[in-house]
Amino acid sequence: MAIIMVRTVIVFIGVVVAMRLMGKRQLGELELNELVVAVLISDIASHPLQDIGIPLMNGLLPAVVLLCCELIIAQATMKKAAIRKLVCGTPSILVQNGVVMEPEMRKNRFTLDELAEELRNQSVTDISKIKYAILETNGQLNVILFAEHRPATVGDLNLPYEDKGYAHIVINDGELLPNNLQKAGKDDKWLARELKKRDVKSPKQVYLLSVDKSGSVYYQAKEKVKK
Amino acid sequence: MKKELIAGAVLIALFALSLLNIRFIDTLTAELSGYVDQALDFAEQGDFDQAVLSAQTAADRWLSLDYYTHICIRHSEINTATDAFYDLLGELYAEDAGSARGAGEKLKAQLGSIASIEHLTLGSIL
Repeated sequence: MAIIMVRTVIVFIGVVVAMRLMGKRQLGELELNELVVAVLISDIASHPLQDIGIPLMNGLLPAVVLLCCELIIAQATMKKAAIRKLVCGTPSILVQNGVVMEPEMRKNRFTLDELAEELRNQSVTDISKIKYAILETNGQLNVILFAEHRPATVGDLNLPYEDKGYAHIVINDGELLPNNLQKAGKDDKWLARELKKRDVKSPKQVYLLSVDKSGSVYYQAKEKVKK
Repeated sequence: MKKELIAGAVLIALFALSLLNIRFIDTLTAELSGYVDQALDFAEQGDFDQAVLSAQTAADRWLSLDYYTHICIRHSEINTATDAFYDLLGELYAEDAGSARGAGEKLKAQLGSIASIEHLTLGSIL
């Protein structure tokens, strides 16, 4: 039993490191080769956990080989369009100018029910309003409406607007993040002033403090010090 | 690009290590089979003391590589080979040359199987 526990921890750490090395994309929208690698690594790495008669290396070595192959293929697909097309395929236009493209639907084995479901997910119910509906290589359906049906933006309405920029989290659950403080263009003196304003003695008492480009601060104290 | 070059280098290194491993296993199993053959020859000549000594040397050599075998070889294969060593020793202690021959051939076949599993052949891959 102890062997299984130790192996599980080793395999867990190994798979996390492998996924980390493969990059953020593995956690988000997977291309075909990325999905294959993620599934294979998870499955193969678990074999030594189920049978202690299988050497641990029989699970970890394939994971390392798959990781290396994925890194090399990912770089190749990034550099060469032809390899990208071969490995990942090309996007398919399922709806064009309000018309469902039957050949593309058949080619992708995409039914009208599935199309309707995906469109509803994006709050679109009228196909005639769709300029393009594109099935991407990662399986996601992206919809572009005709210009007259797109939601109006502040720019379209000629309304005044202020770009507040990105809000940097400066204190995260009691921990001060000096890099983010610097990126926000602030310093320790500014932080001390903000904390004093809120009658807080230390960053450890703060659950969340963020500041954006315009200087607007979001502050939330930890529950036990809330007043 | 650096990550990919390292990945390529790791793949090449792992492949080289696996080829070295194949060579090592071939050498090891040939060495052990040699001791087994020696033991069987002594047994047929009636010199069971020398036969036991040869078989014991092979068994000790096999058991001394416990760390390596448990990392690289399926445990069921290791156990089968270890049992075969003790079967052979049992027949030699019983001074039964005929049965010892059978046990010895079985052991050599097991060792040959362990080596051939590692070889890069169509049969092994498929």
